[in-house]
Amino acid sequence: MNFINSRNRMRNVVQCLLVLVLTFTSSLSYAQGKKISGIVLDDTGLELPGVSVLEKGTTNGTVTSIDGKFQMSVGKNATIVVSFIGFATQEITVGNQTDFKIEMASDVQQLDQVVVVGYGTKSVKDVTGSIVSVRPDELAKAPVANFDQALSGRMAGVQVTSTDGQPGSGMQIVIRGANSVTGDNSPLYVVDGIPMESFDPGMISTRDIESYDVLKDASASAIYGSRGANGVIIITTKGGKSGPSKVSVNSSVGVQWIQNRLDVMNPYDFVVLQQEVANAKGGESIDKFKEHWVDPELYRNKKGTNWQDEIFREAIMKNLNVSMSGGNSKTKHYVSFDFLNQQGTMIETGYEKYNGRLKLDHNLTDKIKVGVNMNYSVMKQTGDKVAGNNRVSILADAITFRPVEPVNDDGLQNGIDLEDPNNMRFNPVKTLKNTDRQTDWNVFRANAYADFTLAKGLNLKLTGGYVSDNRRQELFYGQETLEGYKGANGINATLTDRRYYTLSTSNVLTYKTKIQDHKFTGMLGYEFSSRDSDWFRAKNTHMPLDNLGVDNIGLGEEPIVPESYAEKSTLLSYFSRVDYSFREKYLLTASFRMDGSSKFLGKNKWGYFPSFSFGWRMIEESFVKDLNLFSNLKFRAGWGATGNNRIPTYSAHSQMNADTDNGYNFAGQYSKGIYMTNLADKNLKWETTYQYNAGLDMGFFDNRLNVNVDVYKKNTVDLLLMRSMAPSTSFKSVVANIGEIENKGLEVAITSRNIDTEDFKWTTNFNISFNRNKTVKLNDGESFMLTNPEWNYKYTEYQYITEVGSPVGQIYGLLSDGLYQVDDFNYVNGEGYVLKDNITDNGGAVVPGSVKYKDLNNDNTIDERDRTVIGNPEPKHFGGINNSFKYKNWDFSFLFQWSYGNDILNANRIVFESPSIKENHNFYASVADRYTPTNPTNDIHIIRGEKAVLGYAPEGNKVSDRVVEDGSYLKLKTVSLGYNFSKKLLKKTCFSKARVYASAQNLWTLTNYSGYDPEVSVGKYGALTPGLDYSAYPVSSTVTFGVDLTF
Amino acid sequence: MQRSFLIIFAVLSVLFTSCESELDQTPLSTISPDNFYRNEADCRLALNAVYSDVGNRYTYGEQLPIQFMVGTDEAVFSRSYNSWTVGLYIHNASTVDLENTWRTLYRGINSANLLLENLPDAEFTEESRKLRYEAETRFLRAFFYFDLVRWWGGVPLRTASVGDATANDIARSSAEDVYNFIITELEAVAPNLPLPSEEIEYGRVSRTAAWGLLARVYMTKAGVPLKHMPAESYAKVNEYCDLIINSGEHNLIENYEDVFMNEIKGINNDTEVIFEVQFENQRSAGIREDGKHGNLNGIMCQQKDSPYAYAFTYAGLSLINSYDQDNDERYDWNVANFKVDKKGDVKIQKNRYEWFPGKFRRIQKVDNADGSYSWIGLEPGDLDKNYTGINFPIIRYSDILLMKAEALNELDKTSEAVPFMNQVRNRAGLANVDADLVATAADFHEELMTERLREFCFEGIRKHDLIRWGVLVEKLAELKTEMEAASVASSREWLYRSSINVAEKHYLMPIPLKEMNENKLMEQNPLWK
Repeated sequence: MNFINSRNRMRNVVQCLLVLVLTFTSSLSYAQGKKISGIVLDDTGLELPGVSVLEKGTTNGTVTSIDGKFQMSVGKNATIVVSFIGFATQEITVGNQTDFKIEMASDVQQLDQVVVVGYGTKSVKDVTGSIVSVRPDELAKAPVANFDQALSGRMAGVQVTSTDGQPGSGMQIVIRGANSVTGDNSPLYVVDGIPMESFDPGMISTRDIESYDVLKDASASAIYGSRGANGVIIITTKGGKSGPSKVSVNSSVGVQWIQNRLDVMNPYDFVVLQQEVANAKGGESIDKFKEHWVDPELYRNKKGTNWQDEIFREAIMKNLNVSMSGGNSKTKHYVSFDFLNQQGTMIETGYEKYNGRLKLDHNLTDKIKVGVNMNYSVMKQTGDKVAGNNRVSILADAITFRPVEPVNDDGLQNGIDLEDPNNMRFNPVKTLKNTDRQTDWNVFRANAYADFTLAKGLNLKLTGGYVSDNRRQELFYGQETLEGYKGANGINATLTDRRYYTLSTSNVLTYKTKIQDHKFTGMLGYEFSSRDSDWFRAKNTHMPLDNLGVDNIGLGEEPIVPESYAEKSTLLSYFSRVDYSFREKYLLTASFRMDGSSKFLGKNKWGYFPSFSFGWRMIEESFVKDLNLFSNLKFRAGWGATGNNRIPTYSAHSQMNADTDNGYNFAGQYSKGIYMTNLADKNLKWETTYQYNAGLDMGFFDNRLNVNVDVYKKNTVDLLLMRSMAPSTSFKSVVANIGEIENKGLEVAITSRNIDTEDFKWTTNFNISFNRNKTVKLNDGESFMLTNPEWNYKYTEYQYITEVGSPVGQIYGLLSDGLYQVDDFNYVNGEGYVLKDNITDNGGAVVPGSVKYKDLNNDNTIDERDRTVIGNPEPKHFGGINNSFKYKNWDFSFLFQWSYGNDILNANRIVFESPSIKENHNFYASVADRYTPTNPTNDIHIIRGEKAVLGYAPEGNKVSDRVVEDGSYLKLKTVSLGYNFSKKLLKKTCFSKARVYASAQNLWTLTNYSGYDPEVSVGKYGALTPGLDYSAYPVSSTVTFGVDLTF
Repeated sequence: MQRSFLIIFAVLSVLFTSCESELDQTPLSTISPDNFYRNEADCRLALNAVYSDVGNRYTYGEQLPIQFMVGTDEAVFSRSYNSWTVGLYIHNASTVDLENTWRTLYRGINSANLLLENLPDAEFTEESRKLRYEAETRFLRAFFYFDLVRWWGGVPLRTASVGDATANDIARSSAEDVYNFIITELEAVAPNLPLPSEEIEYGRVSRTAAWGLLARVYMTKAGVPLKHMPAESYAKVNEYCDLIINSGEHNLIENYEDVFMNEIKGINNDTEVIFEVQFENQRSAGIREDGKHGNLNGIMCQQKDSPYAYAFTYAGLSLINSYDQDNDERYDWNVANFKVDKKGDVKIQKNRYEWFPGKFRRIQKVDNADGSYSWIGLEPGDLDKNYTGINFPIIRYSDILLMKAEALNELDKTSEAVPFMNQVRNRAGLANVDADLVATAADFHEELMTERLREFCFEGIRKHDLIRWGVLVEKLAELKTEMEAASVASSREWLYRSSINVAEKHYLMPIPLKEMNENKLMEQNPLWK
């Protein structure tokens, strides 16, 4: 192609892209020389279309046809390079041969893999930072709704835990420990080169993922500057490949269930409790008991109702995925459609999503490539929110509802007096059936790029992206809900619309060159993104009908004042990176980024994020080679700075606003009032994390055994923290840069191809991570921060502490000392039991059987000064081990995942194991063995003792180490068994590939934890309140069956 | 190719320069203090917010006149558990109610400071309006400081708005300085406030409100614990009371109960009330400018969908016993011996010590012809279970009369004082006070203390009165004696826990713990150290 041609084309690009696409003609030229031909087969002996065959050192090349054949002319003494994704690249010297039969071997040698490093790719062997990848086909094997649920246990240093099991709710991903105390610790997602704010894993079909790479250390993630501090997850989606069109269909159907139930008292024990309560209350209550319940013996062996069985079900999950891809050397396309319908294991809950995607790549000329990538996602999450409501809870209702009805009707509905204005309970089945809560996402993502080869080795890539993310939330309380029946708003409906628009452009200039032993890559980039978001809420109450739901909220009789909000933030960045290597032995990488953010003011808008890293491929040194021990040995070390700007958009601005309680009535006439709602620190700046990383990559036995070890230390300074203010300023807190957090750790990853024969292959992946988190500094002069996780409005005591010198968010409370026993008292005639002098009370009046705590400050009473650290939710280590087997046409794999040494605050037990004189309240089965004068146990307290003293601890003294449990677990996370039909069998069909499989998720758990599942953390305040379990939606187990077809 | 380079870089450079300015973003849905207070409309919105903090739940909507005020001879907490700690005298520096009230009073002060700093540059069409806005704002700021100094003693005197975190640390001013500030401010702004007869909107601060507040401020500072220049102060009380009495703006309205019926029904042409906090039932529209009067401290009403009342307080036995029950019209209104149960039936409470405060009531008992009872709701509008629209009086004309009487008595002019007390008694249907009871200044004082109890019970006044007279502990001891005499069941001895718990230190509140922790210049009240 000559210069004039290309210039004309360039002009056409600018003028009319479409015309050019249509009129484009190919101009491939062939080198002169010897003609060769051949066939390329995969490791199962099947023809492989679309394989690139290139004459080494030239641009001369071709791809194999549908039957795997190729033909080309090559020069004398040529070497051909045969490559195809997923297979090891081969170089073959042509010599005199003219006909070739080339067998490609599956690429299991990680060293030849390419990883995405941010604005570019790198061969694994050139990497100097800490990057970990997951094979997308492994993710696709797990029967889960979204890919994030398949990640746990697969990557060293990446802790993936479910907060709870509500369908469609995202996993919590923390890379190398939490940096932020009050901020967000989730990593940055970069999808097809575009950094995404508020990314939801449901927006991408797992089967569309081509590669999944995680940048863990700062030397790798610093190129993402202000958003890189929590690590970066880079997802590249599949594109079309040259070769004949290929259609893949995957369909699966599965069943999910909740493995266990919390043990509640059976009808007999429950009625015995009712009798005891009636006797304790005396008077009318005893008569009522006799009239309705009559005698506990009547309920012995009665089956009763376990309300958990009423709200849980076996649920179906269906998934269909169709994709079509193909292309030629000019144009490649990839189209896919993904559908998932997941019923929740709790009735009336569920998740549904549709993803449609189109990716087109086109070579305008051999120097210009253009492409578009579009994705449209529709997601629907339905069902009442199970966790997080601190007043009413479906699970609490299910556990406390009476398991049996009295023989003589007492006129109550399942034990509830609906007319009692102070009753907060409601039939959980009715609540679920008559609450319509639905969130709909409509997300459109598109990006387009143009890639220009400006000169040899010099590349310019322009990318533009657009995301439109609309979320609509509907909430409707029908008549048969607590709200509808007796709430202040009656039957009511709320509609909330949220929209996020992100526009971004990213422009990168890359230069690659090699001068003798010196390899050099330089990159220079510029990026801008702007994000608009707004929301609007309309609510109407006292609806006369409950059958139209939110579809006609105009029906309501008392509308609530509508609300709206809008905000905009922008980010402007310049960045560059230099990679240098000498003889592929010494590797150097340096990067620098500067980010300007609209969230900060003046000179604080700009943050600077440098990084340096160094690699030494020691295997290239003769003294290492001579050891004959290693097949690979590389040392890596790096340092870098990254930032975090995840604070509310306008935190640096003092703001005034009108609230619903800041107006006034003059002569009965309402007027709005405007006041200063928040005070800002005008000097607010980035939170910066400095991280050191050192790693060693070792390969043994011809790289059949690979061991990667990384150690790191990261310090987050200028922590964006809510600084407490003196109440006389009238403000509660100001977002300010104070405090410091340290994380240090060790990660080991081992990959081993244990057996690698034609018929039988066995691979093991193992990883383990140790992270130690430490609070170095807090607010000026502050040595600790206390947090009340507010899981229930009645238990308003501090339950978490973040203390200088200790991990962020430790569990805090009293030390249990069992129960008071008769020995602790002197019996005084006329007065009853009087506590002995040297024995502490529990902060209130006590009797034998009352809850007893350790009096740490020896003042003979229990108060906030007796609280101490009672648990640490940070695991000592966590990890996973995956084994994959392949025997002839069978494949089998299983993944175990564990977490060890983390504590859980099982707040359920504070409520459900503390009997009281409330009638018709059921409790955990353990309550049947409570303290009574004839059963002086030391565990569950007495209901009520003499002088009407209640056995439970006084308000403010409820949380103790009694309910802190070891949350260690070992989980059989994923199991998958597949059968691949042989090529021979398929020859007669239209399929080129067919696999049937069964897979399972969360099948088995080994744990001492007494709740539904140790994988839980529903604390409201993120890193400050980890490992909290209260009314969490339990995580489901799943088994699915499916088929993968390609034709 | 060269040209295409040029095009690309031209496009890029345009992008670069245009984006740089995009980095300046200001809030879209909220207002920056720098762009506010432009004109009268803005300042009016800002002033409304200052008023709002008078009616906040932590100030006069609930906390100050209800939770903080229970635990005197006028009312006791009616539950056995320990939630209303201030009224039970078991509060300490970490009691969150204290912090909330303290913070809200300071929020009103900060809003006022901001408005006062910006008012001079705002554009008003009439300069007199600006002067009036300024006067109202300074009145309200002084009003907030008066509550702070009464409850806590000397407090940080913030007269400039909090601009950033550097304003965090501030030392306490002496109580005397705070009182001087309040008086100077009120005296300066009074001339700029309109008289009620000139007033357009009922509920706004008037000149007589400033005079009335001045009388109360002087009265309070002359008492315990400050006892600041008593003679001069009482003379000032007399002076300001006279200004109101002679203004012709206010009078006692004919029926005592109508004063409160007006507040309950939201009637806004009351000549007896000099300053009040206005509330309205608007919760169904999502507006929260309502209060808890009649709900927490009213006549118990437990029926679903009724004008609900939790009734966390019982009327004190001292109060009940202080009335001439046959003749005093205030007795029937202020004390109620019935409740409405879950079924909606009126139930008579047999124990006198379990009667309810009736002053701010949501319901009225109706005597049926057949001797049975039923009830009617009194509040207009869309009712909420937990909140009410009942307005709350801060200063009434009868208080002016009794303050004048008290001041004259303190100035040894007892005989001049008696007629003013009699005005209040006569309106309540009582004859003039028995001459024997007011023979000496000490006797008069004794009678006046009871008269004020009968007249102002549940109006957020009693505890302040007992404190300034230095009789809080003594009067609570008397209450205990009276309750013991009424043979309160031994299982209900907790009803007079307050009497047992109260001590000398309760003449002042402890500075909230959070203030102590965060404000490095703060010092705790001596008895709370």
